[in-house]
Amino acid sequence: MVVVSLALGQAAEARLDEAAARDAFAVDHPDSVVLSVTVGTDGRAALLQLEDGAVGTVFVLGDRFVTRRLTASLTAGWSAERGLQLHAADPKAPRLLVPLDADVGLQWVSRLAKLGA
Amino acid sequence: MAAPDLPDLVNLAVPFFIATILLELVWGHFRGTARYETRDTLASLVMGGGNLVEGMVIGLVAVWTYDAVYVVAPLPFGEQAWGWHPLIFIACFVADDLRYYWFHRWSHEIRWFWASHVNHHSSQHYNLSTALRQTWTSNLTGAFLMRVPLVLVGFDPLMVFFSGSINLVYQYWIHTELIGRMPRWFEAVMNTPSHHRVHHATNPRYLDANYAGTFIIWDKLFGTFVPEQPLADRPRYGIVGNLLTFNPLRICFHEWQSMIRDATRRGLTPRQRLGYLFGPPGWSHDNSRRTSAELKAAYVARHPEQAGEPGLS
Repeated sequence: MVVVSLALGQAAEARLDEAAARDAFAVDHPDSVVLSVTVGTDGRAALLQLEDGAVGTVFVLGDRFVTRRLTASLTAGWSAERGLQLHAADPKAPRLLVPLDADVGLQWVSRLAKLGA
Repeated sequence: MAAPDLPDLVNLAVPFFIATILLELVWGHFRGTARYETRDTLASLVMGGGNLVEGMVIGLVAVWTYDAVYVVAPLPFGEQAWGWHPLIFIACFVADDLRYYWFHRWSHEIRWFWASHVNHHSSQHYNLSTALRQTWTSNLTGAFLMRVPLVLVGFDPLMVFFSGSINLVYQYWIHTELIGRMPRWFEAVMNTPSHHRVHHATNPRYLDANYAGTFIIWDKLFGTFVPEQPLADRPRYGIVGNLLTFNPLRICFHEWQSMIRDATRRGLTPRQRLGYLFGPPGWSHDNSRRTSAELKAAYVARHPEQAGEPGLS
């Protein structure tokens, strides 16, 4: 079954750009106003700055998207090899990784630190 | 009257399940519908296998319970000459379907049961493999006790189990997008793919609707029926706050983990702790989350012209 699924049924993995990230986030969080979007270098994750000061995320899961409004119970770190690493108290998505260029990534670490402060 | 030799329907149906999933996969490939995601499908199959194992191991507690209750039943039908009459069986099946409606409804309205049932809703896909994405912790919730009244009334536990098996197997085929609508008379009485797509959808209007197992009449009777509007509001599947993983262990236990952490956090009153265990999913002591009712209310606030429509009243 897995072979047949791989051969015939495998949907192409989704990819994110700014518009796709905004659209996916708006479906799950229609009350949130998105100010800006930073898409990860691999096109599989995006960070969204929201008007109310909160931060949103959109991640690719297969051919679908998973969105979150991040809460203060989160820690953010930077790894030169892997990018921005988020650890959330969320068993549905405890570890999030967003590959970013270093300057952009470090800006986000600083922004997310304020969120948790 | 001796109980007939009843087959194990669910295990017998496994080859049928596999064959039809393959058929849906191939059909969907050539028609461009019924999209499958291999890891999602694999996770559903692992969940289904685990459910069978859990049923064989922990489900024994349910068997012992029903047998013990049946001993004290005032009029055990199975001991009567008419105990396995077709009419008795039909009565048992209908009564068990009503039991299923309430079990299923509480599985969405009470977090304790939702922690187990959420597994079945955790896929963002809706295809036949989703039907097999079953919980590993149903018996741990004590939900099996909801069949005790049927046994106490006098239905043979074997008949009750068999009715449940038919119900479960019936629900398999309704997990598909390949079937649009069935004939009107069928849609009026029976649970169908259209009705069950609504049940699996996270669109606000569709939340907490269509809990039926076999007969949709229970939803119509108890006010939880919402018809599908495939053009105006196409169902989006999954859960509010979808999982970011295909890991079966996380699929199985994530809500238990969240619930226990919520209920044991510092500074809560006993009532608040109970709220996290037995309140509706999305309930929080500080209103930092939203229940289905609050999500619907927020939707109506954004779309007041839709207020009063099914699912938004």
